[in-house]
Amino acid sequence: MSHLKQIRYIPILLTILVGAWLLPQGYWMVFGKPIPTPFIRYSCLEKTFLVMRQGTPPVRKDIDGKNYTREGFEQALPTVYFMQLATAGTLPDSLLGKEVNVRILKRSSSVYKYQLAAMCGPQPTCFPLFESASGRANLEMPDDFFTLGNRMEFIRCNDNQVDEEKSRRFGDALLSKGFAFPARIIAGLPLLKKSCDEGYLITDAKDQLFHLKMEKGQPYVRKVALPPNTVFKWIECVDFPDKKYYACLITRSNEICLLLQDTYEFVKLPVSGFIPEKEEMRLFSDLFHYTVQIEGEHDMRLTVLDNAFQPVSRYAESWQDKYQRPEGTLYKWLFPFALSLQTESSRYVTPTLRLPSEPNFLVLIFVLLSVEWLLIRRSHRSVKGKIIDLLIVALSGIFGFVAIHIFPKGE
Amino acid sequence: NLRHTLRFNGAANVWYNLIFLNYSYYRLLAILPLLSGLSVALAQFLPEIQAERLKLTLHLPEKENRLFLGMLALGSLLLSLLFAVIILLFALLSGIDLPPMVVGTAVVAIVPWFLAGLTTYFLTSLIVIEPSWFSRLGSTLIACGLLSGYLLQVPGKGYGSFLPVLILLTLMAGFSVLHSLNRFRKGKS
Repeated sequence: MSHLKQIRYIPILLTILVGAWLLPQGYWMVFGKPIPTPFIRYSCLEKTFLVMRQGTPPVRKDIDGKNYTREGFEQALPTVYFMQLATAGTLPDSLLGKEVNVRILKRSSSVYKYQLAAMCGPQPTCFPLFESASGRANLEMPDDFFTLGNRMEFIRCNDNQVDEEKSRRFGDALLSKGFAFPARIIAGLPLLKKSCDEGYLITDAKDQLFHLKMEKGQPYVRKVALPPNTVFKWIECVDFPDKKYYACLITRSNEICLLLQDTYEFVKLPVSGFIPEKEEMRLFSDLFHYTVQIEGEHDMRLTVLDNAFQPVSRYAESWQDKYQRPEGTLYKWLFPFALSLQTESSRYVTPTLRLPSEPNFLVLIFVLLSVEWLLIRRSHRSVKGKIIDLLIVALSGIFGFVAIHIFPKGE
Repeated sequence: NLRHTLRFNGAANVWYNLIFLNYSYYRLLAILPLLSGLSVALAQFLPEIQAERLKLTLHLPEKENRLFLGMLALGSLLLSLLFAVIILLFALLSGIDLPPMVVGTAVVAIVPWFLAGLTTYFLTSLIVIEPSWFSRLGSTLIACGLLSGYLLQVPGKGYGSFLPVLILLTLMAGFSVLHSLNRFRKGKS
């Protein structure tokens, strides 16, 4: 029955996998601390970046080291703190030659946030197409949802049947503009709570971009002109009061682009180095500038653009990630590797193995091997017969040590 | 329950909640396979251990493992058949009121729960047969840890390409029972 003895290594392997997944997670739950990230904005008045860092009290400076009081900091960022300035009665009547008030500043301010894991996760394949010219004050949920597989289909919700006439009408409208089924990306705002409905931006099988709406029950389809060889991997539509752009788009080469409202002008932002699979991005827009803020695990890069999308200023800052902090140092001594099933960058269950960056864990492995050797000698057993157990501890550290004792040899 | 929800909240609103707000009308199904696996394993092996009948079984003039594997196969096949029927019925009944893509998403979401049920059966059998209390406790902790991997809070098709890995882990749990059998046969404590 020697093969039955080898079966023991299956539960040992299971234990190592579970241990490598849960023990590091448990460690961070107990010892992990939030990593404070700085608040950085470009001041249209000071023409420089202002930084606020957490602390008691918070530290407010510009990037040249000039200190600010709280009130001075807020005065220097009127497009950010306009509500506070209005409350304090210190909001100016004009900024950089333009008349301003709370209504104008609020209407011209927007923040688009690209969230990590937005792109990498299950995407819906069934969407409601709202009536965008109903003449009603509020939008109404339609009675059908559409899909864009090998053809366009509207499925009635009440009886779960395809509305063939409507499907054919809208499908023909897409085909007449050169649409190639199936769709690759379908992006829109399937919400009732928005200022108006702008339909969906859709890329087809040939990576062409189309704008689809329903106006008075009829299809509106417009093909959007793009530069050659422009292929998108992510499109996200927005609904901001300033109505500057329909959507933010990310190309396969990780370029950040905007599709401007009404004119359908396609703009590539002069920002490089963005990795959407690993970093978050925010696009702040105000009366005078666009600010692209890209945040990774341990750095932040900002690019300020004028209203013509020309670069005005850039700034970058970095900090220690959790593995470089004291709790990270202890972590490296304990765990030879770690397994994770869920990451911040994906909504799929994705097994990821994190290997050590430093060899500190070898010390614990040596200690565990010594303990195991002592236990073997104490039980008067042959070390030769336990060589595989020692190898398991050598390769998997604390995970293997626990596993061989939960599932000992049956001799 | 789904029909009631569709009638009272409006079909379009329910579809919207299902597709965009991760509403799941089938959440109650999560516990059913776990309880099934646990019950079958306890009903099958606990009396055998308590009445010491498993020892007698292993001494019968028959290949040692064949009888036990037969018992394990019977339990796991019955559970698998039951789960397959439930999943099929779920898909057919959901498909009456919901579009195929929504039903497909729901099926991918519930398959890990049924794999968890099968894994629960194997790991409960392992724990019941294991003669040492220390190993039983350790195995219970490992079992809880492993099963939590089948029950992660992910949207719709979040388990997507990880399903084959879950199936492999379930098979590994099945083979792990033989280790406890080996220790039981040798009278380890």
